[in-house]
Amino acid sequence: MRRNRFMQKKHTNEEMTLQITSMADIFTILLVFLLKSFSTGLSTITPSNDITLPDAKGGDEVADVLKVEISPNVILVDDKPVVKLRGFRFEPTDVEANKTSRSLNSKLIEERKKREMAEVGITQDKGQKTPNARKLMILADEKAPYATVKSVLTSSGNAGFVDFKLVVIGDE
Amino acid sequence: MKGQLHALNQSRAPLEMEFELNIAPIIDCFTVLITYLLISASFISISVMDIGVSGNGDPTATPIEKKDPIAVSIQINAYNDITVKISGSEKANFKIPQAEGATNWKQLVEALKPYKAKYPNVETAVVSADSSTEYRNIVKVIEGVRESFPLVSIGDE
Repeated sequence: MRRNRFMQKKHTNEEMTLQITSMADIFTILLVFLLKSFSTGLSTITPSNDITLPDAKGGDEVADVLKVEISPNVILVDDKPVVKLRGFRFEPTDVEANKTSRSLNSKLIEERKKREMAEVGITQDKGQKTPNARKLMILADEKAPYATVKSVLTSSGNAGFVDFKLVVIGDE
Repeated sequence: MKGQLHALNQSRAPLEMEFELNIAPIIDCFTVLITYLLISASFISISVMDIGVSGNGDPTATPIEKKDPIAVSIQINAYNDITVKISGSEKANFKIPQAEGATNWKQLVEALKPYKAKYPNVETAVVSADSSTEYRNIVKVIEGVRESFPLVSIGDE
């Protein structure tokens, strides 16, 4: 009997298998690449959004030290805003005779004392001359004028910090 | 019918069992791992430069050896020209003009190499700049100076 052409063809019950072999290949390559670039330590340093770090070759060791960020509008100490700036310049009411910021000076002294108290009892590495409490890391925008950076360094020196580290974007 | 088939199959070679490898759990693990690594990945390589501050007052600040035969001083002016001053056993004073609006740190590296070759034990240098000099130019000069004199300190103008 001729099949009525208007009759709908019955769909056969076929199982559709999803081809995920290609996806597994891509994931494997992606995973190998990400594992290779995965690192600890320096990856925890994240500059603020409004800071563009300068390019340079660094290569020195880094530890858990106090972080000071210099952006066009604010100076952050350990991610907390301390001093307001206007185009990298201090407010005239905040500047002391030695061209340093009063609020920054007091904050740095407070942080240094806090860190020294926290480090009491912690044995330092034998090769380490300077305790971490007296080390400071500076993340400054590449357009920051030397006067501002020098002022921050002077404030840090007066507060008791002796080891300074400039954070840059470098080629490894 | 089926049973006959079964009997028939028993006298022949055993049937090959086809199976499919289930890679769905592996994909699940990969997805989680890749998500975590992508979130924690840092695609910019951050590095650190150690510097000192001269005139800080703290004797441990910069280990400047006062017995160095020469003292190296690098100054950057407002126009990004570099002035190199050598004092001590040998005296020199020369200028390296800016290049393309920035400090010509590559020429500075070449200029300092002969002094490093002559005085290999000298490791310190002082870098100072005009108040308006941009930080990136100072960092580039410090990077160049560090190739010959690794202990760099920042000083006053």
